[in-house]
Amino acid sequence: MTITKNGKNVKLSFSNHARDNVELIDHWDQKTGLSVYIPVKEMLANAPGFRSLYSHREIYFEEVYCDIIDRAYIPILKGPISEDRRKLLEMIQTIIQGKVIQKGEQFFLKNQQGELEFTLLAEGLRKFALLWLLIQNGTLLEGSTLFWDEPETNINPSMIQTLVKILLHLQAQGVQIFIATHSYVVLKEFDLQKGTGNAVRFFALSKDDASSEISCRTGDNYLSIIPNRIADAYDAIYNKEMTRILGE
Amino acid sequence: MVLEENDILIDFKHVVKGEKFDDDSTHGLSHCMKAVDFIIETDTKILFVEIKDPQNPKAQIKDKNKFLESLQSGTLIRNSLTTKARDTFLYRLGLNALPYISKPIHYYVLINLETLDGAQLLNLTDRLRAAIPTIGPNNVPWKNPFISECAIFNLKTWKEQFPYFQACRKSEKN
Repeated sequence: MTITKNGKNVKLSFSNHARDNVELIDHWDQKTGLSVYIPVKEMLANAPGFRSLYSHREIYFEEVYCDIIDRAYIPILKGPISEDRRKLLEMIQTIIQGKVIQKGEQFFLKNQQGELEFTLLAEGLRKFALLWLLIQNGTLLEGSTLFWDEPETNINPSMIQTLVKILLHLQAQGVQIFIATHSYVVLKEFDLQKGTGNAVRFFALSKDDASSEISCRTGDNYLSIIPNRIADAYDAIYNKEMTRILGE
Repeated sequence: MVLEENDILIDFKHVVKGEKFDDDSTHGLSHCMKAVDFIIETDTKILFVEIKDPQNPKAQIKDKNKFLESLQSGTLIRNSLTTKARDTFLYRLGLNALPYISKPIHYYVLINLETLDGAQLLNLTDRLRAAIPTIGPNNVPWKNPFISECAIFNLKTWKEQFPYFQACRKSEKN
């Protein structure tokens, strides 16, 4: 797939186990950093021993689960921390109420109460903790790319607004973010929170029942998501509720 | 029977009776009791109907903003809409208006704000139902009749749900 923007081309190829799947055909101004894919299932709690297990045994886990643990194990970035990154880390620390530390292959949440094993933490908090690690170790920096599959998974809807705030901050700092979501709350928060310093694009993918072809429509706001299956689902529930209330 | 509330007209067809209730000249207690805009009696129900029209082209910006703030803060549901329905019920009960005892009372609120989508209307409906409240203490139904159901609509969903109670804007009709 070749993408052209502002007269410059970038070529991407997709295959299993590809390492270098992005080829910059023309000069590309942007710094290119690390890319990271956060899968739906949180893996930090299962990290101890997982990489050896994955390397030496046939287990039915996709490679992305090993990759995310690799990214999380990257040590802290060298040098002074920028104000922007410090603010983001503090924002996450407020949510998880502590900092993440690593002992051997095990992660802990360290706070005033001590060191809490990750298996004892709610999965949603572990997702925030992973984000904290990726910001702290420089995986998410200007020029890097974040792919996050259904960030809403396991996260209390009341926390989604903070999550979106963090992601918009990262985007404003030059992190390219791709999100796949089925969440009304995530979509609306992006729509409501995006400011002039943000570049947010919505893509609605849909499959034509007759031809089985996938089509994509894009737009700059929530209302440009057409078709919007999430809104359709809420409308259907609203209609069912009205049918029940009106009783006719 | 066509009833109007500022710039909104609703044609209540095939009803037993209907009236504009929130009318200072006839209500008589508007200094101390709030009122819903219309009370409609159909064959099977009593409808309390309240109209909110922040998109009225003649609405003052400050009034529109005040409405949006009350919607955002929850006071629209907790104070305004809830009090209007309860006071209307008490007023009618005090007058021993018997149809209100024999027919279930439904409270419908039309908020003419096109940005309210299905998810938000659902949530507002549930919040209003809880604030009235349509169910008595300990989750047990009220023993005496009270407002038994609530629903919130925007103009689009009102038209979809009530093809026989068509609503339109007066200024666009003329």
